[in-house]
Amino acid sequence: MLFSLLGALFIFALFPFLAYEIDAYIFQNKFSTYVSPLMLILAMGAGIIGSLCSSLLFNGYLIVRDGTHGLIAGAIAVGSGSLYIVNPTYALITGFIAGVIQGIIQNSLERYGISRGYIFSTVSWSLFAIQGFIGGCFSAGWKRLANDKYSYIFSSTGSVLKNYGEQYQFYAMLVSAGMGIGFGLLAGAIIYLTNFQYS
Amino acid sequence: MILQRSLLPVIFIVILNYSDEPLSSRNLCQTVPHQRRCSSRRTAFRVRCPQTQKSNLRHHHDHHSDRILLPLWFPFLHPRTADQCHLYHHHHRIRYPHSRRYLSEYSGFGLVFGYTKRLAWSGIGFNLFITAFCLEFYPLINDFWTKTGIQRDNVQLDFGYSNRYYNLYLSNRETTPAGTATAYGNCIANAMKAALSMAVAFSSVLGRAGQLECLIINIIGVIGFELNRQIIQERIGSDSFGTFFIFTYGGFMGLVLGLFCYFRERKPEYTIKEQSLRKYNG
Repeated sequence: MLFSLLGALFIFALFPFLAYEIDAYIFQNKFSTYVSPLMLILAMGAGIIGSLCSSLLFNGYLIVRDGTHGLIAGAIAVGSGSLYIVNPTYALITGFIAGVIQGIIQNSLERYGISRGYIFSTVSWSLFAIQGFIGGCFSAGWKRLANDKYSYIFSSTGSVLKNYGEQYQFYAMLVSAGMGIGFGLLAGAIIYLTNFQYS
Repeated sequence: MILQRSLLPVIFIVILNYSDEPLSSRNLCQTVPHQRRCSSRRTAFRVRCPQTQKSNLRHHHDHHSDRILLPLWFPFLHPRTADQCHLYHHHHRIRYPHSRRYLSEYSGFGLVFGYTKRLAWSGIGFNLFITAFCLEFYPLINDFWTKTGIQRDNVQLDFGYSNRYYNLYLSNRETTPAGTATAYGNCIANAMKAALSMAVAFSSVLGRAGQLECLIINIIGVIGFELNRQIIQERIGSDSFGTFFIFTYGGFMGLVLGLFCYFRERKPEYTIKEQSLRKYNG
């Protein structure tokens, strides 16, 4: 568990670098290079608080695993829309809701399956799959808001807001989910036909 | 020599069996000797049975350090029922059938999900293996999908000194020349993102799958990752952090992989057709 806390510390420090995306989006506006990582840091903090709140509500005590997973949940939920978030409150709201949902799923659905032996995922499937879905929904909302009210702060040469509507965020989430399921079926079918590896 | 050969496997098996015990109060109470139960660390697992109102640990000492460490050890407590508590007090040595999966439940994704001692280094090791594989495999897959024309550009069909397939850069900057591989995302940064996505997918079966499964997931997963990345970033829209093409893709892939591993574990008796297929698959 100390390893996981150490890893959570690493993630908290290094995850925002994924949102820099100097590759493709550096010319979107003046502040995109540093606002996205800042929103991610805020969302990770809110995710920890949200997941620990739900952990306290369900168990009566804190579970460290909920905290570390809430951190990642907040980052994933905010990451896709971090370019369009113009108010830090949006990031806090998104991260908090993602953390709460993560805590609820881990302490109710996953625990129900574990207690009956229905374990099909060793790491929370909700942490990446469900949080990706939540991130798609929220990023579509924040993009719509940016298009309606704050489009003037985005560069006219940038294609992030201009070329694609907010519904494309949702489409991207659906395509990723479909691709993941499809290639997972392909790999899983081959794995199903293999024997256990004993060493 | 004979003594060594006979004793060493026994000691090894004993160590392995002990290390397979989950860090739950149930197993600590049943299997750990008296002296170990009295250690200050074990008092953190004290829970009262709802029926008998008895503590699950009969011998414990209250130390101030326990109160400090109490929140830290709570993750190792698993959901229990009154019947399970009843079993503790009668010292039935009932091994939970999914004890190893309990350990696996808290494992994965390197350090973060290396929640137990047994799988802490396994998570890190598999992550390093996945990263090494993706760094070598990703440029080939990127070239393959680039040539299909997903990225809306003229594609050079030859490999040579002057075309885009010659150089690999650290990151994909817009300032790179159009004729280089980095202009099409064939860079180390995207290879690391592919490795992250594969680590997410494999984390769902970490502890239940070995190197062969990891290799299969990597080969097929990177192909899908790059196809997904090019479609999303070039055709659909933006994904600045990688929520979709890294985490959503890896999460859903891991969910399906976990289901297949679950089906494999649930079906120990194979049919003749499956046995013949398994011979060829490993």
